[in-house]
Amino acid sequence: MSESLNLGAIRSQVETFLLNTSTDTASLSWSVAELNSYVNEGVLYTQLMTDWFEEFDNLVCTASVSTYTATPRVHQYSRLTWDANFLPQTNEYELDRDDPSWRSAAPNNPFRFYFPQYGQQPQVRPYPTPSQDGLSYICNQEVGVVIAITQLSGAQDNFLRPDEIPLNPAHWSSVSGFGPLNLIGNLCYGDPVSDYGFETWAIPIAANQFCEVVVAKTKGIIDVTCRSDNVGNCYFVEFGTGNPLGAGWHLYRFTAPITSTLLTSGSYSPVAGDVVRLKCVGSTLSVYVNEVLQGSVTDTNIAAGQPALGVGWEGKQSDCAVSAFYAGGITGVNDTSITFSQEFGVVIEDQDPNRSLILFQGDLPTNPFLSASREYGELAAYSTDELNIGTAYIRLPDTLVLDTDTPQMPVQCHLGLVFYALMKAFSREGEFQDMGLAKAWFDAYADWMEGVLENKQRWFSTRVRSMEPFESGSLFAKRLNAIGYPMQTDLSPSYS
Amino acid sequence: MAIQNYTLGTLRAEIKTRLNEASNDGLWTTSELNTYVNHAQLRVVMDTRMLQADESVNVDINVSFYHFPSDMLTPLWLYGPSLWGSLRLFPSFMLSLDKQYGGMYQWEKDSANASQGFVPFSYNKFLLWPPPSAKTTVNLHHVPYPTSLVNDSDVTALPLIAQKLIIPFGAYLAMMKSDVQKAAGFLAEYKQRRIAALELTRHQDQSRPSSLVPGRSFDRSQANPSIRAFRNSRRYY
Repeated sequence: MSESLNLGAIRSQVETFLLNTSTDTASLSWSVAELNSYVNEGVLYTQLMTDWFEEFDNLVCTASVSTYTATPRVHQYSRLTWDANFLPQTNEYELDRDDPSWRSAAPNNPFRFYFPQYGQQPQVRPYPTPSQDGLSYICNQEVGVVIAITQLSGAQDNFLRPDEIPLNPAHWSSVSGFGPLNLIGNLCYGDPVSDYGFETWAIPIAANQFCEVVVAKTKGIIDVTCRSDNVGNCYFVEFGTGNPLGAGWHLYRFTAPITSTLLTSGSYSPVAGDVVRLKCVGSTLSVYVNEVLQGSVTDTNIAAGQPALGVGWEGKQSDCAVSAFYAGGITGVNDTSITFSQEFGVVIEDQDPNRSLILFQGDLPTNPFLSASREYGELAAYSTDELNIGTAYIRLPDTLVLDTDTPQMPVQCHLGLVFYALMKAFSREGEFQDMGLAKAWFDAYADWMEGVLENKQRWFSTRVRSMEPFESGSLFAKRLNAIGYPMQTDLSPSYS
Repeated sequence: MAIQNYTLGTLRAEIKTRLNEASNDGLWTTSELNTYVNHAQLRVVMDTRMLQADESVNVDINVSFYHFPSDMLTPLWLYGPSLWGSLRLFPSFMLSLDKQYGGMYQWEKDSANASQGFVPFSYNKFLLWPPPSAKTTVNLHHVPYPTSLVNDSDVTALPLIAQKLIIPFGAYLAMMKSDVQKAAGFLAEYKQRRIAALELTRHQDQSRPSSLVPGRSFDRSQANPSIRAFRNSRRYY
């Protein structure tokens, strides 16, 4: 359907007929803005001629409020209802004639309406004034559902590589006075000689940090360590059968040369598969097992350092091991706060078996031509015509602004807009004024629109439009009489 | 011997001959003339309504507001699915539905059922009444927009007698750029020749009664909301 023309295409065809190929803004030809204005005028009058573009709307009623302001999109109302019941039109004169005291009528269910005025936004008054609020709905807000959050600056060693003794020095640093950790069969063990291995993570980690291990075997001790400075200062949480205090976990501060201070303990003894984490944020030290907080304590002695891992065995080297190590910096003084903006409900379906007209249309955004980006069913509020004024009306078309904007009328009308703009261009006062050509282009417009209207008459050929015999003749002329001839060319029949 | 059928290239060539610019591009470029050919093709289909097709529209339970297919130039009639007996749905308008039973009928509050009528709304939408009680399809018989001719070898689906009409109308559009009086001659030729194509469509006149006739053997007029509203309303005259 390349015959669908947007503003740019219409203007391009107009310029082709005008032989107006100059891009010089100072040339004595027709400017883009001028031609666009002619096209928009053509859109308006072609819409009035065909009455093709219609829309529905609701005016939400409020109890005891008499006057309702309609959308400025309305050109002419074709039907109004209240609570889905047809409202016949009346006016003040008829109301005065039929019921002199109608102005003091108590609020009730409306059964008539009238227009108190018809300005840029028509006003509607139902009569009597509604006695109850119409239904409208708002959706509860909900907060986002988190699928996953990735923290930057984290590090991990899952030990999934061939045996490594000692650990890769690019990632791990050995500590003087301690044996190395041994990687055997994808598990990390203590030193076979001294039974205890201890190494620090070599890649710098921020002072606010966590260290986490996945436990594999616990016959011995496992030290999940933070803020180690490699010379004897660190915090560590220790667990395993080899701890001198027995079962459970124990959080220590270790300071040089060899002083360990118990800060706090917990009763849970981690087992194979548990994930044990020590987190140091500022002076707050927290111990987690499987994401559950086990205990927390405050200590200000050690401000910075690196995550580290210590593993020692009790009977033999293979008795105690971890299967993965994770560490990372924590942004901010406290835990990073993440706030999710609220969103409105997405309506999947709405059913109201007692109402026939329920459907969510695309949004009516500020720019109605962006049809591709319209969303269906995501909304903040909506109303039905239940206890409200439902309206159907002939629409004023939106002004075409961008070259990609397409006139809101059937495709077969679009070429007519080219002819209309050409008529206007040649009839404008100036060097290129040519009333003969203007008339010729208006004739072309008339001929094309006659074809369009003839075709429109045959839409739904079995439709009963009126109880009178079909009347043949110039449809265009009749419609033109209804909306008036263009002002600058006197193309109307002689009145003399 | 074969029947001649025009391609975009041969249509354009004939138009160029009429414009006396047979060989090279002068006042009219090839793309410009292609545009006129396509506009002319649209006008021929619009005037003769020769190309017709059926297309289904999905409908859902309790939803009565639908869009027509985007390729629809002229809607002719709708008929229901076999679930509803494949019966034709009657075109109506909202005020006619309002008038049923002396204006006492609250048709908007009807419960779902097999739809009997429909109301065209705006240029691309329609309402079904009553709203469907089943997830099914209704079928639209319509005149579709002709497929645009893009390549020189593209052919139109129109019969030869209608293809011939594209040439004078395309020449008319092109000549408007040069000589409006000559252009008017081409337009007049188009309108005279159009009769021959319209002759082919005379058989379809029976789908367009010019007046209401009394019901006969295959009368379903009472299912037509417009007619029912009219007959009911006479009681109150």
